Amino acid sequence: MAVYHQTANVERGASRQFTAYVPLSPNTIYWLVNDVPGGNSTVGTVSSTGVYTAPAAVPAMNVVTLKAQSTAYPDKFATATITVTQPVPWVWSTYPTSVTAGPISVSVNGSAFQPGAVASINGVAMPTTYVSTTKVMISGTFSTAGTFPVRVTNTGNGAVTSQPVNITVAAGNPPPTPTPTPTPSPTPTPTPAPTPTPAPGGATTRIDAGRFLEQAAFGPRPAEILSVQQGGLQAWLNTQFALPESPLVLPSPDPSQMAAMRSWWLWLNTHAPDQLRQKVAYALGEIWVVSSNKNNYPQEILPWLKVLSRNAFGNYKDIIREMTVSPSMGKFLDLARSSKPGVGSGANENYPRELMQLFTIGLQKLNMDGSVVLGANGQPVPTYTQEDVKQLALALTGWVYYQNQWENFTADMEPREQNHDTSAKSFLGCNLPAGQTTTQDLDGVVNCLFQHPNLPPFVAVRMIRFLAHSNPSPAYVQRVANVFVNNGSGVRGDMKAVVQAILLDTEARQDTPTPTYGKLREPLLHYINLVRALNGSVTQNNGLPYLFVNMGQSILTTPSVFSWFSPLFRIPQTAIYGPEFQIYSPTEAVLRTNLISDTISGQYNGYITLDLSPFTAVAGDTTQLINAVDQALLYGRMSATMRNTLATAINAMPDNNSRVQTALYLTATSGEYLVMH
Amino acid sequence: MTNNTRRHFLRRTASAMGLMGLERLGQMNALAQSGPSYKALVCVFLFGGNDGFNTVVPMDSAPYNAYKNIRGGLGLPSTSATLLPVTTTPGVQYGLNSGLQQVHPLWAQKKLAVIANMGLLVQPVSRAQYLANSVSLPTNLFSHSDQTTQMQSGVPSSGAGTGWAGRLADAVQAMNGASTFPSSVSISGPTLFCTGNAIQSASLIPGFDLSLSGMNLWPQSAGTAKKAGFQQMLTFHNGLTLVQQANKVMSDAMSLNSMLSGLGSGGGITTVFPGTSLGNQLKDVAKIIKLRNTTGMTRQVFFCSIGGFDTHGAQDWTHWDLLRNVSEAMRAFYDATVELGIPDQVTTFTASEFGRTLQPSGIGTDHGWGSHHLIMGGAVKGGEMYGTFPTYALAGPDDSGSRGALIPTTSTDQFGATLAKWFGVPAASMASVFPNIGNFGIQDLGFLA
Repeated sequence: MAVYHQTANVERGASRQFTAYVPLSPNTIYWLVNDVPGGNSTVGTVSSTGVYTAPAAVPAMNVVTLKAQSTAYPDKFATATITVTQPVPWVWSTYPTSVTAGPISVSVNGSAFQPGAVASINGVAMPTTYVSTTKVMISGTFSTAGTFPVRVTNTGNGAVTSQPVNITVAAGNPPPTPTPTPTPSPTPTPTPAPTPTPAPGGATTRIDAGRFLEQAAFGPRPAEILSVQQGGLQAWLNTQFALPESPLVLPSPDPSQMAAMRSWWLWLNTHAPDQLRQKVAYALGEIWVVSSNKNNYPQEILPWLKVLSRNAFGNYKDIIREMTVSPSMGKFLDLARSSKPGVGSGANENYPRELMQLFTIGLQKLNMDGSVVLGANGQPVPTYTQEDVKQLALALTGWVYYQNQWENFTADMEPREQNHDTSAKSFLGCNLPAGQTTTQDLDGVVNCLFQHPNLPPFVAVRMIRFLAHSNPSPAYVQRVANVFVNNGSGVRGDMKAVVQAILLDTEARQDTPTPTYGKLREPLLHYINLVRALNGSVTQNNGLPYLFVNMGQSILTTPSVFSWFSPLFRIPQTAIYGPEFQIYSPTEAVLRTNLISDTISGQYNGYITLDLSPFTAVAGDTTQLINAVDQALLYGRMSATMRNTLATAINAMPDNNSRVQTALYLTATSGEYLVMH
Repeated sequence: MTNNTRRHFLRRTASAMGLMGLERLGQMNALAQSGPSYKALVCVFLFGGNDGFNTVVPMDSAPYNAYKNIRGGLGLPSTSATLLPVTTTPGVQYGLNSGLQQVHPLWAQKKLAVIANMGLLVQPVSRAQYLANSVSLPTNLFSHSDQTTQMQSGVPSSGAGTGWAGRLADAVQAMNGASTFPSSVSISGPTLFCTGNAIQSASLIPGFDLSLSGMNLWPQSAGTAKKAGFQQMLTFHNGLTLVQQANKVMSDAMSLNSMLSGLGSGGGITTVFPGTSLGNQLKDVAKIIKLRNTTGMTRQVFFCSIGGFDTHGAQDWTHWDLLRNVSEAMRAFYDATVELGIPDQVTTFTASEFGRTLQPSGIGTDHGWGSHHLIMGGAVKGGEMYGTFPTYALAGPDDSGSRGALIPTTSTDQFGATLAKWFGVPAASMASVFPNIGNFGIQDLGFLA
């Protein structure tokens, strides 16, 4: 049995038709709301024909379950989830359309405003006076110049925020000295106070649940949105923390086939129950890079993947240590057989350098909020010198493959004392005495890097960019870095606490984006997100990975240790960070769009199965079809302009199949979907 | 109007064009055209490690005998490849592999030159220093993956997330004004070589004109409506900078699509290119150069490639055939630049991760280090051998070991800096493109006018 729509938002007092699919005989059913036959005035009522009418007031628990129960078979039923909201407000215009920074008075015109409605400028709630359902007045102080979105929120339980219109705020007096070329400020745009969201302990909105799963997982599956909506974010996190780790194995039947491992990777991340662990491992793997462009065989890659997965909720200190002795990394960056001067080719500096630059502390000294420390000359202060690299390289000499074989990937590397340099070393302000063993020097290196003041903001900035969004405010970075320093129980480097701090932060949870908010989905995330949103599946031996090569994101195969794209890449000619834009140029954009088109139209049906039934069920009704696509991909946030465009295109289609495909294609390739926000 | 207000004006005009925004890029830059004349650099990367020693052979008797003695049966001329004679101005004789027949005439026309024994170096290295491991060396010499990465990044002393073409494009970004067409373009998949710090690199696939799939519906009006919807959505601005940027990239793609498809089936190039992968790549470069007045670009770097040069075995015929493939495509490309009227503004060069050992192993060669490379174009002071021709002697002064993996006598940095200077990179910015350039005395090898 099934109920369509499986999920819906209904404004308080409004009605909506639901349909039950009952492949039973007899097919008689009755309807319940929150298990009350016919419902009641608190949770809403449902007619015998499936018309649900929301209660006049939004209930305290505003997510209700609509159930179609078979009269003949007590164990047969199907449910839908309904979110009861305040009426959706619309903003048409402001008057005036531009103001001068300072005390302002603006009227906001639109429709469906409710008493208690609050207007915001750029996400900052402003003192608002309710005038009528079509007008509210802002009078307050707004002191930043620029062009900003104005929105109106109908507050209260089930609060809903309008789409924005822009207002221009001119600089106030005194006028700034005109500068010939405005140089973009290198500091991230400060993020205004976030919109309050429900406490992470309890139920949440569909938007929040969907957004959360884009950050914490490889995108939501429909059922997961519901479960997060009902149980809340913390409950989902707790479940995920407790799940067993997905097995990471060599491909079969031929374990030497890298192509098979790439296709397995796509399958794993589409289907793994331990989504949070795999997502965090993926993010960590964009910091700690190993690539099959050098480690050509799956067995040379697997140990690296295992360190990432095993320690996703572990301690960063263990990651530093385990990566250093991993045979995967030993091969990729040549620590294997790095020896004291005079033995072999001597101390290899490749890993020691990248260990500092890319994996732990970076090139420039950082403040706890991620900003760069400037020296007396106004320039960034380097974190290390070439001498530090040399000393670190000496400290890390002596590691060879297991049993000192030519290459061996079945166990960690092991120390070989006759290859180890036993002189005293000094680097980054840390000192290792002479005469230490290979392992003792490793401990010294790990401790030194782990205690380095750059490590907390270094990890915070990267993990926020890879999981949540590209332009975190300094305050957000600092909050996460503080948790890295101390998880609340005095433990430094606890990644479980760091991940939780990133995902539950008010800035990650603000459902009303500020202008610099968001993260461009990279090709792999975009694709897996879409497949999961359409409740799809991928075969384990699929022929899809090659499609990502020309999009700049070959699976398990970055071009270098610098990964597919830099976490420090900015949108050209701006100060705005957009790491994923480094691999988003015209060809890559069209290839991605075409892959989505080909996938939706079924060209990869041997590899991919999508469940389009929620859309085909309403294919004939343009509004319902748009609603269904909006709910599935944008959690009900599709803009009015986009809805209109979609409607025009859908209505030009000759049949239901192409109506569904067009609706999905235009939404899945839209800027609103490309940038998770 | 100052430059800045002019750009703002153009931007406003462009957005006012609304749905006509499809042509935005082109019109904007046609208007904005001014400033420096066009220049392009084209890299033809020979993946696998080209055997430069059998690409160009010294013909004066002493060095030839040294060559033939070491190379033995692999020495040219052989049954599959003879030699095409060339002479430098001072009268030194060389022979080009007969696979290079198509570009051979360009030597006499002074449009083709050779750089001798060029390769990756952190700083100048003598054999003694190399053997004593007493100076900084490129990491993991002789390893394909490492040397390919380093040759593209141009930073053999450490890792890098950018390539030297990308940084070249960064350094001359101002010359491209407001044009948004990518200045660093790979026609061979996304590459490190083209990745910059500031500019956005791009890749093009030969023959793919960036058309959207799934737009051919029946009735035709349905396809038209679907595409119109797609394009209309690119104009929406929901207030998020990143969304706007994503829409901009796709709008650029649509502009590029209309430009490329507007060139017609032959790409608007009359010159006949060989139907090989490299021929198709270089033809695409010619198409993009043809569009320079529409895109408004004045500085562009291109990356093309061909694989198969890892000739451990069966080298003689294989190598000849690979060079034939390269030279036919390069010659067609040169002719296309003549057709486009800008042969002096386009410089093409070969590169490879390393050369090969002088000493053969059976009927092939092993991974080496320095190697000879070709430079082609109207601005090239051709008909000459540049750099320092090495001594062909096993365990000789230029050998890193005993098999003739020769220590480069000219660094990739010096070679690249010469190209960069011609391209317009100011001396002050050179170290931002080639971080180790300061380690070398000569920064302009003089092969470009």
